[in-house]
Amino acid sequence: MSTTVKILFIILISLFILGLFIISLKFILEKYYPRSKKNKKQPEVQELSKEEESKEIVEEEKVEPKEEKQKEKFDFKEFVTKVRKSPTYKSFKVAVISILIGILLGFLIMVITKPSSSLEGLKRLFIGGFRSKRSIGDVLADAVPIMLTGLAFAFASKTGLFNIGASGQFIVGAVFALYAARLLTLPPVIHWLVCVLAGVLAGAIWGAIPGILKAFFNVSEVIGTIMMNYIGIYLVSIMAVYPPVFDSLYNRIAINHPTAWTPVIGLDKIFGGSKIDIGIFIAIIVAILIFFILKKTTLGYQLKAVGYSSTASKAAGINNKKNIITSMAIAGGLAGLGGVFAYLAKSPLFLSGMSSVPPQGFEGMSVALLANSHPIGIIFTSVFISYLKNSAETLQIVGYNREIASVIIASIIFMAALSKIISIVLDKGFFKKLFKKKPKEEEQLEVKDNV
Amino acid sequence: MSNFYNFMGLFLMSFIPLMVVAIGAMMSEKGGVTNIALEGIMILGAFCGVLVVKYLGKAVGMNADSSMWLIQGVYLFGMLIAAVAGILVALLHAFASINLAANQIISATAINTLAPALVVFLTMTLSLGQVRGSDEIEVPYALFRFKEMGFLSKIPFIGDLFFKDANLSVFIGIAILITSYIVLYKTRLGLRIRACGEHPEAADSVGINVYKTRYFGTLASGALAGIGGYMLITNIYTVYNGTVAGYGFLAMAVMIFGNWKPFKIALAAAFFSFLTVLASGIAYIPFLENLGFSNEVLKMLPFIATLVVLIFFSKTNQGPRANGVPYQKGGN
Repeated sequence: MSTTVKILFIILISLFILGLFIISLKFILEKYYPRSKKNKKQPEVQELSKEEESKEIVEEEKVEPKEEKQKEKFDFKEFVTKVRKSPTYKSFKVAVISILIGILLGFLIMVITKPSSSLEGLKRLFIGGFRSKRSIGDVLADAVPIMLTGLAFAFASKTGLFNIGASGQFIVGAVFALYAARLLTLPPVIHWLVCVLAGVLAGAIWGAIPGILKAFFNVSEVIGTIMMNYIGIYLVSIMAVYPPVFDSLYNRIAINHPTAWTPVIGLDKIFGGSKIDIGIFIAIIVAILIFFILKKTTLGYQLKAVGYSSTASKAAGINNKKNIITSMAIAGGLAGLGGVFAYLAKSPLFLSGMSSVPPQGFEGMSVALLANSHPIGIIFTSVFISYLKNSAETLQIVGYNREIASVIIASIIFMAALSKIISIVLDKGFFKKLFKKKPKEEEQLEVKDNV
Repeated sequence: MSNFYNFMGLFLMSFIPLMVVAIGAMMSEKGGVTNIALEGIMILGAFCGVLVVKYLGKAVGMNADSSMWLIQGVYLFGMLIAAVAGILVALLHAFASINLAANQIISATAINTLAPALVVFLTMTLSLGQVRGSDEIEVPYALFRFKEMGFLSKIPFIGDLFFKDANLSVFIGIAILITSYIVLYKTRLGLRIRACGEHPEAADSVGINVYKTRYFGTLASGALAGIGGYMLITNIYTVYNGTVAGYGFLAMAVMIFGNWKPFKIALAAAFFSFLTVLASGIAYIPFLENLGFSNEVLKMLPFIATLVVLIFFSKTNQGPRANGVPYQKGGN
C-alpha cells in the first residue's frame, strides 16, 4: 500500500510541477506575443470578458474607496480576477487540460494493455527523464534536431507554405556536413564551422528547389517537398557508400573526424557523460533569432504578408516569388542545421543507406504544431517531447514499448485541435458547477428560511 | 513474354493501392477537407485488417489447402474491417476539422504520429507478432493470390495478366475508380461534394448541408485509405511492422499530380508506380538491366520524373478552391 501511495504522491507532485511549468511558459509567451491565428475566432468572448472585467473593477472602486488601508489586499484580488478573466489564463487552462488528457489517455492504454505495472509505468513516464544528470543532458541534446526541424516547418508555414520536406532537408544537410568533415583537413573549430556551413547550405538548396518550383512553375509545395524527401534519401544512400567516407566495417559513414565534432565545451562533464554539446545553445539562439526576424524585420513582415494573402501582398509591391523561395530556403537551412547537429556530434546518429524518410521532419511538425508555430514556444515543446521520449525509454523495463511516448504526444496534439471544446466547457463553468454544488443548496436553504 | 507478365504483376500490385488511396485523398479534398492523415489511416486500417486475417484465418483453419472461397472470404472480411477502421479514424479528423473548424493539419498530424506508434506499441505489448518480442505480424500474402481460375486464366492476354498470380485487389481497385467517377460526376451527392469544396457558402445558400457533405467526403476517404493500406500490405509485404512506407504522402502527391480528377489520378498513379517498379523489377527487363544503373538511381527516378512532368503540367493545375478552409455556418 505504502508504495502505491508514494507513487500517487509523486504523480501528483510531478503533475503540479508540469502544470506550473506550462502555466509560466504560456504566461511569458502570451505577454510578449499577441494572440495568434488559432484564437482569432474568439474576439467576441474576449471583448465581453474585458467589459465584464472593467465593470467589476469600476464597481469595486465605487464600493471600497474609503477603506484605504486594505488597498493592497484589493489590488491582489483585482490582480487575481484580472488573471482569471484574461484570455491568457484560459489558454493555460486549455493547454494544461490538453496535456493532462493526453497523459491520461496514455495511462489508460497502459492500464488496458498491462494493468499490473501501469502505475510503475506512469511514474517512470513522469520522472524517468530526471533519473540522472546524464539523462537530463540527453533530453536537451535530443531536443536539438527536432527543435530545428520544428522551426523549419513553422517558418515556412508563416509564409503559408506547407513544408513536409524537413526530413529531406535534414538528411541532405547531414550528409553534406559529413562529407565536409571527412574530406577536408582544417584546424579544429574552423573545420567544424565549415561543416556547419556546408550542411546549412545543402539544406537551404534542398528547401529552395521546391520553393522555386512553386514560385515559377506553380508546382504545389506539398508534392515538391514530398518528392524532394525521397530524392534526398536515395541521394544520401548513394553518397553514403562513396569509398573515402564509407566505413565498411560498420556499414556507415565513418565518424572519426575529431576536428569537426561539435564542441562540447565541458558540458558533457557537467551532465555526467551525456551526449549534450553546444548545439542546444545554438538551437535556442537560432529560435530567438527566427522570432526576431519574423517579428521585427522587413523580411519577416513580407514573408508573413505573403502568407496572409498573396494577392494583397502583391498589390502592396511585395515580390511573392522571391519571398516564397527565401522562406523555403531559410526553412531548409534550419532543417539542414538540425541534421548537422544530429550527425556531427561526438556521439552522433549514424548515417548509412536508407529506404524510408527519416522521422525527425515529422517530429518537427508535431513540435511546431504544439507550439502553434511560435519560435520561442518551439524551444519548450521540443524539450517536452524529447523528455517524454527519453522517459519512455525507461518503460521497456516494466514491459511497455517506448512508442507510448508517441501515443501520448499524438493525443496531446489532437487535444490541441479539440481545444475549442475544452474552452467551451470551461466557459460554461462545467467545473465550477461540479465543485460548487453545496453552496448553492445552502443559499436555497437560506432563501427558504427568509421566506 | 513471361518477363512482361511478371513485371506487370509487380506493377499492378503497387499501382492499385496507390490509386485507391489517391482517390481517397481526392474524395476528401473535393469536399474541402485536406486529409494529410492518409498515412496514419492506412497504417491503422492495415493493422486491423492484418489482425483479422491472422486470427480469423486461425479460427477457420485457413491454410494453403483450404478452398478458394474460404481464403477470399477471409481476405474480403479483412478488407471490410480495414475500411471500418479507416472510417473510425477519419471520424476523428472529420470531427476536429469540420465541427470544430480546427486547423486541418493539426489533427491529421496527430493521427500520423499516433498510428505507427500505437501499432508498434500494441504489437509489442500484447505480443501480437510472429514470435514473442517481435514487432512484425506475418501476412499470408501468397495465399490470397489465385493460382488458376479455370477458363478465365486461359483467356489470352487478360488471363495471364489478371488471373494468374494476381489477387482480388485489382478488380476492387478498378471498381473503386469507376464508382468514384460516377459518384462525383454523375450523382447529386457528387455535385454537392464538389460544390462544398469550391464554395461552401454558395452551397449552403442553396440548402446543402455543408457539414454532412464534408463528412461524407472525409469518411469515404478514410474507408478508401484503410482499404488501400490493407491492399498494399497484402499485395507486397510478407510481414507488417506498422509502416506503409510513406504511401499516404505519395498518394497525396499523386492526387495533386492527377489534378483532383479520378481518371487522371489513375494515370498519374500508373506513371508513378511504373517507374517505382522499375527499380525492383528491372530483372524482368534485360535491356534496361544491361545499362547498369545503380538501384538507388532507379529508385530516385519516379520522384525526379514526377517533378519534371509537373513543371510542364502544373501551370493550369487548380485544386478545389475551399480546400483546407474550415467552414462555419453563418460566417465567423
